Amino acid sequence: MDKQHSEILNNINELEDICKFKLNEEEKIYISTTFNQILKNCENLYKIPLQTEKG
Amino acid sequence: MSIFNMTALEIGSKIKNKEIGCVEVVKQFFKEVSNKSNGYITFTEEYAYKRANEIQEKLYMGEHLSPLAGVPISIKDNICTKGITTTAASKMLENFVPQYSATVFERLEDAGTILVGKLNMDEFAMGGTGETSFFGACKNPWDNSKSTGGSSSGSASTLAYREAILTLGSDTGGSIRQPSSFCSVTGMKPTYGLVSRYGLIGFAPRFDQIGPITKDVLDCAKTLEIICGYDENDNTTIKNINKNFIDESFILKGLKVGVCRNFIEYSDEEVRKEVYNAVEILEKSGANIEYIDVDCIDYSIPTYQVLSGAMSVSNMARYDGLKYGYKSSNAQDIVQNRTDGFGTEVKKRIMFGAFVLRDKDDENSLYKQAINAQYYIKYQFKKVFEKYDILLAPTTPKTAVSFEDKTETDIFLTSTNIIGIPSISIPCGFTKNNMPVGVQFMGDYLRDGLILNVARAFQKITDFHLKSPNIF
Repeated sequence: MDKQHSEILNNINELEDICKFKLNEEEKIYISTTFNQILKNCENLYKIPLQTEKG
Repeated sequence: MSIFNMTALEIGSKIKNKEIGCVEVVKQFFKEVSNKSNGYITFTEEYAYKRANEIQEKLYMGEHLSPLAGVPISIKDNICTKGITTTAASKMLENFVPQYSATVFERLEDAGTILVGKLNMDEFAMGGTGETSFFGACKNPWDNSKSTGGSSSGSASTLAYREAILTLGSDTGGSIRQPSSFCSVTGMKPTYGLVSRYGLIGFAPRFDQIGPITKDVLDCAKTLEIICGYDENDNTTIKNINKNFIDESFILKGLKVGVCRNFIEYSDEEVRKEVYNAVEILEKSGANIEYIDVDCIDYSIPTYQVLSGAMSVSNMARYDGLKYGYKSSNAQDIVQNRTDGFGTEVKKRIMFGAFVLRDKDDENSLYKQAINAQYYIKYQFKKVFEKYDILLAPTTPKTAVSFEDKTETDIFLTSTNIIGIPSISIPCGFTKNNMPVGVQFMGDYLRDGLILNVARAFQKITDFHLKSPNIF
């Protein structure tokens, strides 16, 4: 996930292009930090076994 | 007696019985309301008087209207109202005047209710505290230093402040129920598809639902009866539903209640105490109680964040300032319009969605994991509803939090949006510091009537929903 965090920071310009808005420096710091927290929580999703239609 | 001390149905009854006139009600509303809550973005005084005269005329002529005819209503500002500013609490839509009305608003108008104002909220319904609003956060009358919750912050706050009679909110990941719990009012997220989303400025169409936030369950049920049902403008709505939700002969005896033990144990001590007390009340009334664990706490928030973020990207792309919305000094510059028009939280959510969608087709992508988790959560609930009629849990793990507290207070709520089942939050007690605690009843798909009846039965034998903050 740390790799993903740095990926966010490295690619923030690309994400700005996709989203069609710019971030100021304060927003960049806030958003990259929050992304890192969200992505840490998302690690739980990888613990769920692959589901079939019946669960 | 002030109209603010009455429920919507009580006011409707007095109007019907000619004890009070529609214009008199509207006059009293605007005389007494002062927006202490900061819950209103727009007041619709001129419109309301015009409507009051029309409704009064209809009643004189003996026209059959709903039991809510003449009742003032206040609506979250992401629900379109033709000719009336609808901002979604965003700078982007600060001056947006819709050319059509949401179906829910049309149905409430047909029922004879009278719009008196549009309510504050988190910007584009993205937030859980109300503070992302371009118009500032609302106040919680139980403690001004605490959040009202969100995103339907104005809906809950104005009711608690006695500045509204009946309100609508919207709920994408707890946005009706969490502020209802924080402000000690009744709020319901219906089954997905029960209520039309046509005219809702939503952000995650698969999770968004409009629902009532009211003083009690009877007002909630009556409002839902009016707004629910098939709408040809929203093909996700369900046909042929039973609209008579409240059954006065309903009893709790024999009701099979699964109590989410892991949700309760995750919560603060004072929340636990009040929710266990609510369980005891149901048990004493004859409900069969069993404690169970529903395995979703670790997954519901990330699943919600990934999927709602992904949906928000294309959904929010329409706001470019060209056809409508905020225009920067260089009006043709879409990037500048969006940069200036959106707040930070909105940018964060759109950007996270864009981030997860970039590699969505990869074998182990986060997006695919979230879809897998959605199935998993659905299966967990399916299993328990094979055995129990309803599930009971705290609405939130804490009472209203300070603005600095970043606890995910929607952690018990997002699952029901992810899988589309109904849930209602009602007051169930107070902490030593007099902060409200909410309990939620969740039902299986289309068991909206059942959870409303359980909540109604609970309010018949308790008075938590009647208590007011000490400021009055």
